[in-house]
Parts: sequence; structure tokens; C-alpha cells
Amino acid sequence: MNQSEIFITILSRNQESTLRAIDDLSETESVLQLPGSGNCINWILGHIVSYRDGMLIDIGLNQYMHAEELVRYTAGSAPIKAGDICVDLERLSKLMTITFEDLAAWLNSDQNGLQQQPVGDVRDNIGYAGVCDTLTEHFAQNIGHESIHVGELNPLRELALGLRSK
Amino acid sequence: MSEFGNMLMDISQIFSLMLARNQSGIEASYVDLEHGESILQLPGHSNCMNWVLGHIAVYRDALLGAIDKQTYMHNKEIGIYGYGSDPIIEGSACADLTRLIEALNRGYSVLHEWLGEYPDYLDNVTPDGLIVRKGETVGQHFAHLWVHESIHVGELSALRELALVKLGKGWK
Repeated sequence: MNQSEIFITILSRNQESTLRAIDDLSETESVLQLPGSGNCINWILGHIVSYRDGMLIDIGLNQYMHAEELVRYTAGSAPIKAGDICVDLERLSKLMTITFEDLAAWLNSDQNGLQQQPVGDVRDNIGYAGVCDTLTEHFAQNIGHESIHVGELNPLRELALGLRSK
Repeated sequence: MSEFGNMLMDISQIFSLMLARNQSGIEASYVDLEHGESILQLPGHSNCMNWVLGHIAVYRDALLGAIDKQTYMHNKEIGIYGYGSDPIIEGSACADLTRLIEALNRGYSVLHEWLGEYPDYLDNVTPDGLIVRKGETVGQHFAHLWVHESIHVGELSALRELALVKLGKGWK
């Protein structure tokens, strides 16, 4: 097992869990809030996509989020609530799929790619690039970060389903 | 410069980094909370913090068992926190929060130290007889269980928020 296989394993599980968590949910349900100051499904999806963009830039591929979208989902950005301007769920869902396909294809096609120097400057890109010196570390940080955010989706889906049944 | 310098990270370093991230998330989740707050329920059918922490501890035992290390959860606890077990609600039999924290910390220490030794063992066949076996090699087993653990760590955020709201405090 090499580094690429580990990243594919984790990224694939993240993707499956994400699609399961948002399956059949509506736009309105994607901005529901749990008690406290956690983030809604919409914010979490946008945040994950923005970090995937960071990995795509580092391997010389195109990013997908526009600058005005990116700023809405960066670390520390304000929570998204009903009525706030945000990217719609359908677009976020498509971006989740496209970024996954691009990253998985790259990891599958170039087993030695992670040993290469980043194409971009990792220090300037999205995610944990600012604290990483190598592509492998950037991927490890971003994909590990992503898994935790994927877990945050589960109670938010339960909230949406619970409200439907009332 | 990060601690990893200008080199390709070893697989054990990748696991070590993810383990540390998970452990940090776990520790942040229960700060200033007591056992009673660990069994609060969110809307819907998700699990409480106590169940999630116990479940992570059971699966960490599956990591420890794969590398022939001591495990920390007892059989009765495995029944309470294993996959598909009943939700824990107020009055349910469960382990005390301090006991779960102890098991998680011990497991973390052993795994962290073992990964720091850059073991070749990751290419070995995953032994039979574990609570859960996910992958033919120990490395594959670890990768699957790592993402499983991370996703459950993510569930802790909303549960901490809930506890803090109940206590009249903010998250950050």
C-alpha cells in the first residue's frame, strides 16, 4: 500500500458518506441549524470543496469555486443561515462530485505524483498549504480535515429528516 | 517549516498526523463537560457523545489488536458501543465519561508511539479475531478505520455545541 492508495481509500469514503448525508435533501434543509454555533450542511459542503480546490491547484489542475464563492466558505467565515447569500445545493453537490473525480483520477493515474514538488506554491494555496512543505503533507492534512467535516453532516441530516416527520 | 521538512511523508507519518488530528478533536469535544452532558441527544436518531466516544474506543482497540497491543475496552463495553448497538439515553447502561477518556488516551499513546517508530508492520496481513477487520493488510485496515474514526470525531462537534447551549455557554 502506498500513499496514493491511502488517500484514495479515505477520499472515497468521505465522498460516499457525503452523498449519503445529502441524498434527497432540499435547499432549505441544507441551511438548517442545530443548537449552538455549528455550521449548516451548505457551509460544510462549500468548505470541503474549497479545500479540495486547494489540492487541485497544488497538482496543477483547475479549481472550480469562483473567488466570490470561496470567500463564503473559508475557515472562520460567518455561518450561513436561511436567507443568506450562498451557493445553491445543486451546484455544491456537482462540485463535490467533480473535485472527487479529478482528485481520484490523479491519484489513480500517477502513483508517484505525490513525490513531485507542488505545481503551485503550497504556501499560497487553499487549506493547510500555509503550514505544509510537501504535497503529501498537504493532502494528508486536507483529507483528514475533510473527514471530520463529513462527520458533521450526519447530525444535520438527522435534523432535516426529523423535521420532515413532524 | 513543518516538522516533516522537504520529504515524502512515510505512510506511518500520514497515519500519525491523522491520529493526532482526531485525538485533538476528541479532547476538544469534552473539555469542561461532565458525564451527564455526554448523554444529551440531538434531534433525530443520531448518537450521543458518550456512545460516539465509546464507539471510537472500541474501534481503536481494533487498531491496537491488529498490531498485537493490549486493548482497553471490556466485553460488556464492546456490546454497548459496538456497531449497530442501541442508542444510549438517560438511564441506559454505559461507561462513565472519565472511563472512556482514559481508554481513548491510552490507545492514543500506544498508537502514537508505535507509528513514530516507522513500523514495517503496515504491510503485514491483518490478523483474524479482531472486533472488526477492514482490509487485507494492516495498512489498509488502518486507512479504513482512520476515516471511520474521523467521521465520528466530526459528529462530536454538534454534540458539544448542544452541551454548551444546555450549560448556557458558547462553543468558542
